[in-house]
Amino acid sequence: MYYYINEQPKNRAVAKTQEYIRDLLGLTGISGEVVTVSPARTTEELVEMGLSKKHNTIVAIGSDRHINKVATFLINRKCVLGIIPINSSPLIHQLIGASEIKEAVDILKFRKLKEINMGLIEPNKYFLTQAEIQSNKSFETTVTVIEADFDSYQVNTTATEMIISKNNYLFINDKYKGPNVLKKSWAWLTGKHLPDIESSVLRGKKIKIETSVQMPVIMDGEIVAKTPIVTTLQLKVLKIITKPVRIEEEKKKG
Amino acid sequence: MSNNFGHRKALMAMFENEKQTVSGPGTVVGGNVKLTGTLKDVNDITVHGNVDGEVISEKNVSVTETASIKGPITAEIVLVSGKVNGSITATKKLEINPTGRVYGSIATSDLIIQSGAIFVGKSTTLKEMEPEEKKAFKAEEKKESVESENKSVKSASDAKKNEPKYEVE
Repeated sequence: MYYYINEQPKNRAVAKTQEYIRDLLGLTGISGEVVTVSPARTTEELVEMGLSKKHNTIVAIGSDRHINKVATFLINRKCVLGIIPINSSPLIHQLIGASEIKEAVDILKFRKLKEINMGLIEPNKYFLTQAEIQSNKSFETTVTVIEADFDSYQVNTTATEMIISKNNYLFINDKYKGPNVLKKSWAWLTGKHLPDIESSVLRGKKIKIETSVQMPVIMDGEIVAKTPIVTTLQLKVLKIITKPVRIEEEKKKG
Repeated sequence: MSNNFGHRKALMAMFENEKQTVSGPGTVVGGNVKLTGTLKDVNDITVHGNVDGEVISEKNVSVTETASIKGPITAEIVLVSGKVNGSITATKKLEINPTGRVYGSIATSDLIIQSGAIFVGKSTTLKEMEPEEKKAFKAEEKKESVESENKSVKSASDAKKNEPKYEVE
């Protein structure tokens, strides 16, 4: 049976959406125990309760932050994570293959499982989507990418934003580098394409990020760490329910 | 603040879309980057910046106009539009564009040096074929020889049939 964990509603609209989802689950025939996070009962406690009751699927209903929290407590467990996003980022929608709530509920019904990777900011901050380091000013950074024991390289550059994905891709960009506004405008007017040659995309099993000034690392709008950080790729540590291929094919057919 | 970077997020989303870990879009070294060490990727590598070390890819390596590499490059296909100080081994193809400058030995099976390009070094042609390719090549050769043999036998018999008959008195 499914065990649903609602995020603590921030406003009436979210509370109403949660009620709508509850009704929808009943209509779809996958209703189960529904609990809501509150100051008295944290996400961790609710997940532990679900696990102790031997539920094989725990469904997180809410924002990226809530989904990420629930996911963190299910890492390397037998229990499967279901996701019904409310006001979530496109990355979450992409992850499960649903663009709206009804579709997300339908996906739960078919229970197609997929093992996915997660990123880890050492020592214990896992992430399902991405972590970001951003600033309005350029900062110097040194990145060490480690692929294997004797296989590594170091990158020195400036940046205004660094994005680390769950598959341990690191995207680096400095918005003050590259063509100036005049060049960009001219290219736009003449219809020329200016290739982006300033951005970098690096990938490794382990990435160490150091910055000239201490920078906050933001995950789902929350500061989770400060530089220097070490991120590692956690291979297939979580089972989630995603869209079955059959539904995708039917959708394509129309 | 994060909303200002929507296009970047879209790019990252693209990477997320790729199959996990082994495959993916590869590595891109930006224009203002200084990289030291061994850069290795199973997928494509594009270099716009400076690399001091080895570059190894199982697919393509692209050295753009703004790039400078000090070290050996190994890949299937290598495209050079920038500067390379080091040897290049391209198992399939090596192309040096007009803006490309290569100082070092090269080894490839298919070499294209465009007009305006600079190449200072020794060039070697890779002749070695993969065992599977060899087998396929031999099989094809055999097939061709059998076919030609059959053709020659047939043509010989045809010739015999069409031979004018002379009556001997």
